[in-house]
Amino acid sequence: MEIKVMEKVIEANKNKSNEIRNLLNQKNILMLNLISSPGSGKTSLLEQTIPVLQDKYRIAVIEGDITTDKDAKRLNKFGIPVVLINTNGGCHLNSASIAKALTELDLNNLDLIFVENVGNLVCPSEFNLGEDTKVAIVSTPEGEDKPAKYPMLFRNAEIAVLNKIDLIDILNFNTDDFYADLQKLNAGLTIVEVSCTRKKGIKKWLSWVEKKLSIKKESEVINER
Amino acid sequence: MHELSIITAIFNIIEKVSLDNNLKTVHKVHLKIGKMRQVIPDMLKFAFDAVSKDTIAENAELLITYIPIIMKCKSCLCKFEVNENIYICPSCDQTDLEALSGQEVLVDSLEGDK
Repeated sequence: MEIKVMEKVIEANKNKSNEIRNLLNQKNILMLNLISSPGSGKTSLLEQTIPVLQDKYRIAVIEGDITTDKDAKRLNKFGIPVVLINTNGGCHLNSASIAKALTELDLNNLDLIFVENVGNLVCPSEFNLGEDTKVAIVSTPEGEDKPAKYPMLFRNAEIAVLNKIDLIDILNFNTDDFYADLQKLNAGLTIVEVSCTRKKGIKKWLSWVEKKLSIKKESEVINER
Repeated sequence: MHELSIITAIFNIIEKVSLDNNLKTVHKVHLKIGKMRQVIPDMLKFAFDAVSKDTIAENAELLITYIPIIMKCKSCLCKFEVNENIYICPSCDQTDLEALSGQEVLVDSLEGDK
């Protein structure tokens, strides 16, 4: 016998991520989900970001790592709350693990949470965490074809950060193709070029984050009315 | 290998539906998966075999139907299928689109015996 089911499979994750989104909206906390391949520069970008923004905003990081605490240790020097989630082999964070991590943070004293997802371009983009938006990070050594090969992330992200631009000439990275593919995939995507090691282009990224924070604050005023 | 997460979730659905319908064995599981989902069929089958071992769905066949990515243009309201990652309206070149399908992962139906 055949039984019609028609049940959505990732619904449990979706329900939980909606709960998280509602909670963070109530608390007016902006949550950014940083997704990239391993080694593209998620932690490096945070190292350039946190010291500049931490005087103005209350920041926390949820750090997804398969087994180690290496990235979390790199961020501990800033004296902000860092919650480590070891996925023990899992290739992505899910909304249940984020919900648990949020219980370790004082949500009444935060403006901004960065989630550093497990390094992987495929799996993390399939699971919403209740974030305001996904931040796609890609670095020049990976090649200009990453958006075309892993479209879901770049379609669903609001911003793409191209890191290691100081290596563009050495690597023959084709910037035109990179932009053309992104334009086809997601015309509304903001693209910023940075070099975390050379500290280039960081200001553009920071102003995008601050713009998102101010939009979140404006919605707070509306909520209070 | 997020296929394992997906299969584990699928399995929870299979167990619930089998229990509700008194199924003793499950032969076939029909899935519908949106083309935007980056799910590898072989990985899905591999994960399914691993998770279904020693359960009522052991050796069940996994049948996957892919759902095309369909977008609706918010300007001219035309509907079109996305191919080769081009999210641009073919009639009016606008890029403000509403997704109608292509991201789903769902258990469509089960076949089994009581």
